[in-house]
Amino acid sequence: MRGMFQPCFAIMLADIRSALRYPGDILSGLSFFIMITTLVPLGLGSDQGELARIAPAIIWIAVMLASLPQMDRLFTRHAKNGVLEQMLVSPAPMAMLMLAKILTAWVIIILPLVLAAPVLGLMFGLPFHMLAGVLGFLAMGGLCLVLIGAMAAALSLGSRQSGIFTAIIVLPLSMPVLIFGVAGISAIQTDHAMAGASTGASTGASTGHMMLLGALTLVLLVLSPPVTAAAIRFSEE
Amino acid sequence: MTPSPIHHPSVQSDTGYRLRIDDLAMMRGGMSLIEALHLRLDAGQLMFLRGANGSGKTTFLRGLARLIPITQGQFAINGITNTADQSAFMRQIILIGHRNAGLEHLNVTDSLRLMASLMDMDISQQQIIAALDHMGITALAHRQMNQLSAGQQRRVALSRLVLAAPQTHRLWLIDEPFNALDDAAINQLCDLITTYCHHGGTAIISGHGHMPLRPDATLTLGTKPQGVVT
Repeated sequence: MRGMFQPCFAIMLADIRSALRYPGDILSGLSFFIMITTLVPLGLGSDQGELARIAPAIIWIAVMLASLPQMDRLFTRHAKNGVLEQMLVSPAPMAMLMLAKILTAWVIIILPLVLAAPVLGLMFGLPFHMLAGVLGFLAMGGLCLVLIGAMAAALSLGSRQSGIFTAIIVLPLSMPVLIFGVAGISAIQTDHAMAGASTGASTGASTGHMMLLGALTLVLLVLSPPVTAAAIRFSEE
Repeated sequence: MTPSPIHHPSVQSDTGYRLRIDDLAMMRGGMSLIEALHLRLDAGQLMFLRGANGSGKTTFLRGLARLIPITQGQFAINGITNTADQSAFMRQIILIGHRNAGLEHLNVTDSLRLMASLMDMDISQQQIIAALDHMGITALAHRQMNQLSAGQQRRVALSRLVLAAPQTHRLWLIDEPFNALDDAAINQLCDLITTYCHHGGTAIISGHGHMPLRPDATLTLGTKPQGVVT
């Protein structure tokens, strides 16, 4: 067992260090995310009710679009300089190394967006007390997106139009994430409206969506690392 | 095909051959590169893998590292076969491919440390410095990988060998190590390989043309009939 975790932690540390030293990737994703979420309210006008209604969908679409280009580049650099080859000859199981890589990608790609979301939520008239719930959905759904994105990026390694290829794989697979994610955040809004009306405890219609999203995440957590590892092994042959 | 004769029975270890290859065949892009290869290497032996461009040197080395499936036969390193558990098998080998596996956004120390961690080695700062010193690049320890020249990056990659002692890593697979190196680095690398083999390590080095070391065996690819000239 000793051989499994040391390489995993080393990969996480190296990736986070690289990302912090050259924050361009993080900032470009973040600026794209901010751009979408500020342009939509500006374009639609200042009807607060309307904005609050479409806010969940806009935030989710922005997260997906802002993270996609970074997912596509998840392995390209490592493939080119031979780091993936060294991962394959490591005594540690490749699927474990890929899980480490995916969790780090969540920290680098998704976490900045999740942290920026509350500020942008205010622009859509999402009340402050709802933010914890929104953050939970984005964090969980974001993990799904990275798990899907890693598989897609690994499968499209070596293809010349890898960007198109990744998008084609990611979009259909991430539809459930979008549906449960949007429905979940909308449910938080209705939960709060109802809780306000009945002055009782939050009714928790959003809990169901969260559980579905959680189930999806668990399935992908089991599925994605071995699929990613197998795809990379194949591309390195 | 018969197994090649053993020329150094005295250095043979109790567990048998360090590298044993039986009836190996490998294909690449529909072409058969290696056919019915039998090979024996003992502890402490150095083999030169020679061949023209595209003759299958890299394929052979990557096949021994289980990166490319073999089409026929079997091989064993220190008695651990090619179908054995990944962890047990990989612990014995180190592969320096033609790509340097440097992380361009990290400095030399951190990049080398990651490579050591991937090989599941617990490395102290002193060992890192010693490894860099061995390849004459101590001064580069805190430089970014992407600021180094091709030869310097190659030196960083090769400094991983210093960390892989013959007691733990039984077989070095090095793909064209002398490319991009200057004379000083070639001498340092030759010292390193000689010392490793002297302490019971076994190494396979690929290349074409001149080989600055005296190998115990030479395998020439791309010429038929195939075999080992010792």
